[in-house]
Amino acid sequence: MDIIGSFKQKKETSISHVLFDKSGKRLQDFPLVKCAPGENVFCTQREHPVTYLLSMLARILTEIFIFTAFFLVVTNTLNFTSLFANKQTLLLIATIAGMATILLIELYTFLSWYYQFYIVTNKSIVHKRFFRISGFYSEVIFLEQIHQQEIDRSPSNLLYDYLRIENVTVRFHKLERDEPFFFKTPENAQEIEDAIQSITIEAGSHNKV
Amino acid sequence: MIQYILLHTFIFLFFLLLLICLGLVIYSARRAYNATKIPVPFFIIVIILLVSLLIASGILIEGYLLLR
Repeated sequence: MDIIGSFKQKKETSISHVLFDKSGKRLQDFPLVKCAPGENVFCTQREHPVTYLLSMLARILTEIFIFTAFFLVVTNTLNFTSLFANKQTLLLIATIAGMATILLIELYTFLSWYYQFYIVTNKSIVHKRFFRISGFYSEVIFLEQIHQQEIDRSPSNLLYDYLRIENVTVRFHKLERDEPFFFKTPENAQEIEDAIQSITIEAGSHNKV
Repeated sequence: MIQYILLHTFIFLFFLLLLICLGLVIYSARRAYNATKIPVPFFIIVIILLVSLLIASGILIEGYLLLR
């Protein structure tokens, strides 16, 4: 079976898609990229859910601490309680404002993570962010003309190393692009590396023929 | 009296700002769905409704305190 056929047969392996998307379709079956004739999507991944959850936990704890500290300092130094009917009203408004702010921030960060994708096709590697206030973000590197590249997989820290969550860095031997293409903590770094290596090997064998 | 009005106006405007931010989040989510056809999970809809309820409560309470 050729490489494209093997990727078409592949079952869904995206952790986040299994957890959150109940549509029954594979993540790569959604129209996230406009494929050129002869172009097929090999894999589509989000950032690893664990990285999002850890950052969310740290963010919530920080927000709760800041909000509580701000509330205590402001009410004790500026004597705000006299400007409210009673302390219960002050506490109610502070709680509503705090919860609304924290939930809104978490909503924004979840949707930013949910609608960010790393896509590998047989002709390109793509990074797309669909949830942005200021418009979509898209970065595409066409691999057809690039035969020499370096692919590195490395974890950011000890915890990610233990959890086997790795970044994938693709460096090109091109003068036009100095900076590498960076996959930040994808769900399956091995799958991405294998897909890019397959494209490179396939392109190399076509050139020899 | 002035301190009271200033404080409650500030809090009222803060809740209005949260409402605008919520509107931007919903607009961006809708645009992302239209582009990708990937629906948001159901619990996100629940959280959006909860945040709307909290912001509406805050606006109503502050509005009442200002008008009182």
